[in-house]
Amino acid sequence: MTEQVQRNSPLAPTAAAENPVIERLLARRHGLNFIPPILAKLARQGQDLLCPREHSRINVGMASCGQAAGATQRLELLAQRSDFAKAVQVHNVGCIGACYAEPLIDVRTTGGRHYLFGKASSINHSAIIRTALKQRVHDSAWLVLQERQPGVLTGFEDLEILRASNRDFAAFFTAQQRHISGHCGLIDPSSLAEYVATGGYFALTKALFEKTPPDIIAEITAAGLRGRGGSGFPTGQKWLLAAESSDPIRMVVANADEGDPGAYMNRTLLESDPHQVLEGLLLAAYAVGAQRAYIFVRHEYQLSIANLRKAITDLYATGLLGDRILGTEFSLEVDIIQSGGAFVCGEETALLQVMQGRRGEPVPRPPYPAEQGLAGHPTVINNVETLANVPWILTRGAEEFRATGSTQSPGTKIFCLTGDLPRPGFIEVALGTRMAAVVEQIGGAAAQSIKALQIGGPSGGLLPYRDAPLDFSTLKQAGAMIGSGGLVVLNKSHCVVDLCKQLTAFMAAESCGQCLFCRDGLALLSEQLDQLSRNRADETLLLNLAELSRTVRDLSRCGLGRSAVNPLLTGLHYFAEEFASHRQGICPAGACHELIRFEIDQAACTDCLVCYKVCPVGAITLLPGRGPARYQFNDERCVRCHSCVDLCPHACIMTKPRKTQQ
Amino acid sequence: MRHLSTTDSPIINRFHRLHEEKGFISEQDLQDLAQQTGRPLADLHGLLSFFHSLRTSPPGKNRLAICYGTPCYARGAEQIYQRLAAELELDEDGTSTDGFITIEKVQCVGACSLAPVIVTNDQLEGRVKAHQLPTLLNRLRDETLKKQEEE
Repeated sequence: MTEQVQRNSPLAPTAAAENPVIERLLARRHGLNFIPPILAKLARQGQDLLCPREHSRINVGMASCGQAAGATQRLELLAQRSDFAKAVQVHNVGCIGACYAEPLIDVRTTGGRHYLFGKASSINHSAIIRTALKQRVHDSAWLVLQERQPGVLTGFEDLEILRASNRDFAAFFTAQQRHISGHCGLIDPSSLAEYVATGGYFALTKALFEKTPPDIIAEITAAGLRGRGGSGFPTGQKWLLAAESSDPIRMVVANADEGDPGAYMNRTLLESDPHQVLEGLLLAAYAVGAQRAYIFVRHEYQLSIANLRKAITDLYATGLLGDRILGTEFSLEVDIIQSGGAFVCGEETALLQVMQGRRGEPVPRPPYPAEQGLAGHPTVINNVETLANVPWILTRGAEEFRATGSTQSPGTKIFCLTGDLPRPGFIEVALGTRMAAVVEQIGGAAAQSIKALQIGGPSGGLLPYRDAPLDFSTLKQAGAMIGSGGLVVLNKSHCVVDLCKQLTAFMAAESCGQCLFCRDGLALLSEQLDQLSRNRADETLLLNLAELSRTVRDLSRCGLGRSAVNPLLTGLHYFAEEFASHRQGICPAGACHELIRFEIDQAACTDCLVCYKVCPVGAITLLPGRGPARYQFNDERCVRCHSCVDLCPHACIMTKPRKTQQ
Repeated sequence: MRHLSTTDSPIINRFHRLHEEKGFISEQDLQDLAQQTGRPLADLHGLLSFFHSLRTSPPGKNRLAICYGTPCYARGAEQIYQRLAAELELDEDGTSTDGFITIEKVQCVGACSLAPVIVTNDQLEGRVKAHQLPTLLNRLRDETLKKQEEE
């Protein structure tokens, strides 16, 4: 690119200008007449960090997924450069959502331009450095974004795309509506100041100084916010129940015991933007009149816990937590409780049991925890994502919240898009968005390659892929549920029976054991599915499966037991022919270990011995002589680890149905 | 400056602290805990056995957890396990008979976009293929030997 072109192009560097006065801008947005001095100070500090006027800022995505992809090394290499001393600041941020592009590095140059580099490695390391130092566009940046008003960065909505060198990457973002995850990947999760500079704790200030608790509950009710943890229960209604209680001691709990395999939105939110969840928790506590709050988080989420600890300590230090918050009458204490990885503890009554040091066995409702929960006091339990919606609603108002999504399911929902697709990630779309927009446009999957979708975790369903809106009611009609928002795309190489077996075995292991049918019924179902996958089933099995599943659904006490058979019921309904062919001993997808065997394509084999050498159990033996014909597979010894299939340079090891005897 | 309270810390947080110290919770730990808290020992046994992630027997020198969440399962967790089981002699607790490694099947570790995922000694590794495991095991063996020599 020549100098001439650069000067005329919209990509030419812009001169550093004074940043707008952020606290006034934010106060105007929130309709706030008075700004507490501490908030104004933090907002200015945060703005100087987020939008430095004289140097560049490099953001390295350091959430768990980034770290697993090697972001730590990139951060270390950049942070220790001596030529960066005065010119460039290096920060760690959370996850921007494009997990497939990790490690992801965002270079912000003066004038509010952001250069996003995906899959950062030693190859584009120097391009990142040059962009930061010279403040000039480099071709290897996947995406170039511009702050609409330079110096104002309060979320994704303040950025517009200038140039997309990587169209797929741009497509990943353009179909999304990032409201709740709007700061993720842009701000440092350990910095209170940066969160405040995006408008953080302004909603709380507005609530404390200018609104009464009933106003807030009314606003949340009017917005029609529904619980994002799986049930879709109206949040306003839950809060009202606790607020109207005659018991003056009340509690709120943020549920971050994310146990759904395939869902990691709580982890990403807590790792990338813990303050937003905390602000939601504070607002919930203020609205229902609680004095104590807890965060119940999975022990496995160590980075989330560390971020939360830092955030809570900072809040106590600035007077945003503890006694008389911001000098008002409102006081709140927050504690973290770590759960031990039991799926059933996501159920709110089971969660309360664990918090009180008992086994996580659900108890019948009513009374609902919002009436009688922790130690008998009204306890409001909200999912982390639900709480993250609260500051947004109070800032923009119920009407704007309802402008996205459908009438019955307003707002946005975060989904975790995983499985067999090119662009898995953490995405946020309006509720009611078409499935095709999510899977094909954002995820980049080809429609014809998809066999099924597993939606809503092990209590969700297995649905054939078709274009339908993603909202609470549509999925319920199909026999699945949004759940916490796990969306696993499965291609034609997967066997529905095998998946049902795995999901049912998971639920059987996670059953708390109180109800007969959930405990023994699921175990029996899992055993029968195992038999089916080995061609050891008798004729009545398919009928039994359906009948027993319905019994488990109808005769279990808690929501988890009732939904545990959803994958099996939907599998039996939509993929009946696949179950039937397993009865004949054939796995159409070639996935069930005992129904397949490996064979060499004699025409393609070059007799290179790779398969013979990699087999860990010596299941491949050689007959005397040379040529493809000497390879013998011992089906009994083979453990189906697919090492030979993966490593054969000519892809000549084929999966064949195996004839088994009943 | 105020800190998070630890005094009346719930029993589950204390379990985690014990577990972090040595990788499992022994019978002696439970008895001590029963004495400190005044709760019946049977009660603590019941609570401990409820949580899958808490071990009651000592783990091997290395720990390798295979994620069995839906995306990881769909993308080959079972193949990884089969390969490891074929390479190692595992007892019913998942520990190899020479005490070198403990193989665990865990539920979702929350890094689904990198499926299939394994966690070796707290280090997350994504997009693992079964045939890469012998190299990984060799690396772990070397590291273990080096550590032993240093000691």
